[in-house]
Amino acid sequence: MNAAARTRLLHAIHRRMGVCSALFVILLAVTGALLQHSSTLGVDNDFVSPGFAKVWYGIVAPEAGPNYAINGNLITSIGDALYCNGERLPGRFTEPRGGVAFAHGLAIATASTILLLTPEGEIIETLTVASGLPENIERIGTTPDGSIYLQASNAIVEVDLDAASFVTAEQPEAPISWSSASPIDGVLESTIKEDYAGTLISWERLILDIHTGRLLGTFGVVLVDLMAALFLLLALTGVWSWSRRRGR
Amino acid sequence: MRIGFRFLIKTIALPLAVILCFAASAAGPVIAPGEYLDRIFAGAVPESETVWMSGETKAIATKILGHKPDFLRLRYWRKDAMTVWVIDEIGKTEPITFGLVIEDDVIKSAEVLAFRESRGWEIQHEFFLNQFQGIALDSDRNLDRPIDGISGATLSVRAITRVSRLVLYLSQTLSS
Repeated sequence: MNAAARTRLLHAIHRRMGVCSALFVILLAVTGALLQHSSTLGVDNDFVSPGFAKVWYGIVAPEAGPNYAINGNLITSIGDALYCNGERLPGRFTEPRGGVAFAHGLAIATASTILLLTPEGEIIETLTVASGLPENIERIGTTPDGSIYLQASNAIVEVDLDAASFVTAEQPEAPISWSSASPIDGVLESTIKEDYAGTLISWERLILDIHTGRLLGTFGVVLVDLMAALFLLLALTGVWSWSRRRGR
Repeated sequence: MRIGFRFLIKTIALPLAVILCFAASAAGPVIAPGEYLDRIFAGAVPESETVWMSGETKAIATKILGHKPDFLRLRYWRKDAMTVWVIDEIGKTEPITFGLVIEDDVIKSAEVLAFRESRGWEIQHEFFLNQFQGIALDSDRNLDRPIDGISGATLSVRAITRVSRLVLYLSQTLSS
């Protein structure tokens, strides 16, 4: 094949590759632009419907976890979320170990934090190991005089939630009433599950999965890889073709 | 001009390889708050105190942060004219834990104790954090010096800027 024929063949291949890849270029450009400005567009804080998440990702809300009734308030856990009276609290949490009332509202203990809430469910403070909280909290309870105790790593710890003081103590004379989970109302559980399911997949995540091909699983990833190889060939053949014309 | 293989390697492939080497995200080490306080107070950590977000304080904190504070009570540690604050603020989606030392209503030092985002980790470097030393609030409750941002870390830079303003403001309320 002479040089002219090779050049014509190269041009023909380049044109066909361009046509084949045009749709993918548009898709990648649009999804790329959306990802570039995801915060501004708010797609990182907007979520796809639970139905869509179930169909395309196979994700469903987990069962609601332990539910604690504290002074007429209900603290329910599901996944990495905590709900107070059906309203989701900001932040991510591990499973609660119990809750008690204290001077300013409610104190909810997880394995490594104590979340202090007002009776209206507003977060007062989150106590962590930074505040001197012991690790591996197993349960939280109170004595009849209102003193608050933790059981952490098999030790009894007396707690002052205002001073953030945690002092290993002997078993008090008065019995400690340890917080225990209570059954959850079916309607509340459904409401919480539906709300939680609606926050599992953000639009940003969906756009990213379209951009990378992962929405279609391994097939989609391979397809995007092939398109990337195609774009590379397009660039190389295009530049080579241009250089040959310049060379004449 | 003919463009050969060597030209393509020199002008495209090599620079791309160099850029990709630096592009990988690298969250820094986590500094436990207890360890941070021990270092700042040389082992003699005082009892903590708290400041409540209520009324005017809460309104101003909301304005500074651009959102309602995620807490109604913030804990700090005080020794003489120095206060030390450990505070979380969301960068893009995850909380970043900051440690700030304030003395005489001026930032003495700022550190990132824990960085949980996938990008923007560059704010942990000294070259960036040193900008906060000696910074105070102006009459509009903004920082009295501009902070040079870092490309690709805009949200993280904004987070530490907001937190610095808030902590300086709260420090002023304690002084008054």
